[in-house]
Amino acid sequence: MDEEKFRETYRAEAFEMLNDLEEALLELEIQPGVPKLINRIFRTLHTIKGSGKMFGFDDIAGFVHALESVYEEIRYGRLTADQKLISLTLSSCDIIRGMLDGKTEDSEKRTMITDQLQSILGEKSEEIEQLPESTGKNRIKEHPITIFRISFVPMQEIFRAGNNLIPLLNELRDMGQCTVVCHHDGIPAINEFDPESCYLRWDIILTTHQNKNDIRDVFIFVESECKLDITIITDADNIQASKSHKLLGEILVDKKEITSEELKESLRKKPLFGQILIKEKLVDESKVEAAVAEQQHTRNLHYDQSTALRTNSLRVPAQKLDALVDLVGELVIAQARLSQHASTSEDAVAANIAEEVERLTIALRDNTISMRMLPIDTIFGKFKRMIRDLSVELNKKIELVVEGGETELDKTVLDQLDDPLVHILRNSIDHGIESPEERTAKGKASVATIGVAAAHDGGNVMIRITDDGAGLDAGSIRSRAIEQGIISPDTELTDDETFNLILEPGFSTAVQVTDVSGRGVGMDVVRRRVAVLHGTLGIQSEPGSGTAITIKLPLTLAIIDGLLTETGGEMYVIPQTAVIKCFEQTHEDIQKAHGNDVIEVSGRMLPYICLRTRFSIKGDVPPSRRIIMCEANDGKIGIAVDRIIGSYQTVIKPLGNIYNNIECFAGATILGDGTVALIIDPIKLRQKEISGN
Amino acid sequence: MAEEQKAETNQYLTFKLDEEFFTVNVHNVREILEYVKITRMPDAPSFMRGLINVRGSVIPVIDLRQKFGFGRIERKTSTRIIVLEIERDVGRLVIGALADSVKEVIELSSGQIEPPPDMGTRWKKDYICGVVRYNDEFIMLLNNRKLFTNAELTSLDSNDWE
Repeated sequence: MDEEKFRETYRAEAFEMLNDLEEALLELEIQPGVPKLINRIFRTLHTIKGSGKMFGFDDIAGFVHALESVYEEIRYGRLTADQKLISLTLSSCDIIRGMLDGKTEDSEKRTMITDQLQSILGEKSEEIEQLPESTGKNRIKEHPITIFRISFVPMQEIFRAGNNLIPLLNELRDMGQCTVVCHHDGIPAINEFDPESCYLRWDIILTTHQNKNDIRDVFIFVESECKLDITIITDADNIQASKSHKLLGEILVDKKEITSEELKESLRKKPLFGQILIKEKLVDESKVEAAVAEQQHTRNLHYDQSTALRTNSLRVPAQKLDALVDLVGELVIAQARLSQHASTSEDAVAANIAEEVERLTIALRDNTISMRMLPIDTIFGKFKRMIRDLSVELNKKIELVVEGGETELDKTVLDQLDDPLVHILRNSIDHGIESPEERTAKGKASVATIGVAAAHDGGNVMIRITDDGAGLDAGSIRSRAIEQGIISPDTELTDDETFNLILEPGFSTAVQVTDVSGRGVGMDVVRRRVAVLHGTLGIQSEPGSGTAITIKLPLTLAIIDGLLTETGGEMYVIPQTAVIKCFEQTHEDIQKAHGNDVIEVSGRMLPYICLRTRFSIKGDVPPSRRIIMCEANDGKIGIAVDRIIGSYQTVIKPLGNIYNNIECFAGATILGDGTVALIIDPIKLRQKEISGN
Repeated sequence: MAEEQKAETNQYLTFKLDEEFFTVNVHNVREILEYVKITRMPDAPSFMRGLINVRGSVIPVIDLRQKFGFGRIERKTSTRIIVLEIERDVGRLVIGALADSVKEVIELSSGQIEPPPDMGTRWKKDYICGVVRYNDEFIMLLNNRKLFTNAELTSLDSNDWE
């Protein structure tokens, strides 16, 4: 049970690490050879492998091992990460994801990638031969770095000649990066122990620019009193023989601690290979430790730092947060009832308590919702990968520019935003962006730019996707729309209105159905998905220079601030984010308008919708009523109600799919007395009014 | 015949619309509520009486009597809202059905249920999927599959054009 929990945590973390890995890989592709990126990649791979092994994902650990080895070589400048390798690593990420999901079907692909990685590791030595002095870029110094294994076995009598061994080891440490492992298995039982004898021996792994003789010189004074064995573990000649010097077993065989037959036998018993060796008494524990130390020797220790950072945050399953948000929603409703009850009773203490509870509830609501907020970067990251893959596939050169990735949105909104955005981007790449040749011919930069920008705008989030592609052709959209019966041939439309036709159901301008966008999902689906999130979608385009698609979304779907109004005994809520201001309309004002539903606001005409008329509410118009001025997309609209009751924390409840066709409501909410009130969507109310119901 | 109703239970809840008896499988009945204030839904057909709050969820309420063309249900002490749960291809629907009164739960075997007469009744025969003779009364079995489609629930009926 517990183990399953750990595995689940590992999976969650691994998915995150893979995202991070992808990001680093894509950056590395743009800025090759940046050590910080290479280290980040290596570290991430190492963690995926290490924790994978710990939690029983041995297949993943095994698979990542080869990748890790390749990136280790890159870190030492013995390999360069070219596009081919990055592509290979990216596909590896997909495979690891599959493995995390428990998929086994792509094992063939897995082997293929492993083979390719192995061959890259094999090729490396050739590359080094070709590269030596000719290309200085390749960070191969004139004195090549060599890793030595020094086996230092002093004779028992060594101390008697007055030798101190510690300075020797320190001298080695000064020569380069150095790992020292002490073997204490030679220490005898206490009754045989001679305090003046040396029972210890050492294995030292040293990465240095010095050569073998320099190392031998260190031991020059003790040479006659010890067994010294200095071997080169990685240099150009050795590498070809062993495909990866890092395998633990190979190190042990190499050191003649075990025979290769013993190794093969034990290999069958993977995973806990080192422990098996110890258990089977093939090798002493300290010998394995030495080998492990050798394995770890060159690894970057930043890993510790990254784990230290993580302790400041807590990982909570999303369902728990969702449940919390629901509970807070119920609490908000209960609190509204309490406030309503307190306001009608004479009890001052109750009113006080109700006020206090209201204050706390609002704070609790805001805190809870903020917990579910995620930076939009979490989905933008995915786009980088997608655009890279698509540009390769379609032979287009594209640069993605992301802005405002730190903008936060409710997780539930983000989750549902993913697909529509992907679709818009695919459309841009497939239909908008021209081929590099075409672009050059048109005098544009051969590399196209796709911009994804997010920003807060009041209580909303604006997401803008721009491209500098061919733009939309109003003429062909128009003829296509006429052809498909969406508009009649004599309809007059502005360019912007024409562009918005592509959002109509069943509209598609794609002449050629490609794998990319020809999936039967058109822009109308995108619009519908955005509408479900209470968002709106707009299109602007300049023929020849590009298209911009703007999505406007509310921050959260769960609870909003609303304005509670009453008309003829019916209650309606208007989202506070849409409200600009409220004012009184007297009987005289109504008469002045001569039957037109307009009112003068600071010198301009504001058209308004009378809810009483619009919703056929019974009863007489009161002598004075209120007009609520609302922002509705690109226009303003007034909503006439009898009375404004006040601001109201509105827990949005879905209306269910049978009311989907009644568009002017954004949902319903539950009032303090337990009855239901509808939430008006001013944008849709206006649209419906303009289109003539 | 009543294939949408799970076979494991053949208990049926009977209720009255006007003077006629109707019934629905208890499998589809979630609960029975006293009449509560219903919030009107503008732009919806008039037989859809509006929305109520059932423990935090907002559900629509249908006036079956009006849907069948027997006139609108007016609030009386016996008026109840039967909360129905209907599995549909487009997802589960939870809907309240107004009833002039709720009677009892009866046991019926499928042999007792006869096909509805194909003429001579004042209700639209599509909405009924069977008729049972019980205690000297004819009880009509609601055709959930036909009655609770989105098309039926959203199309305006003839009264709305007046």
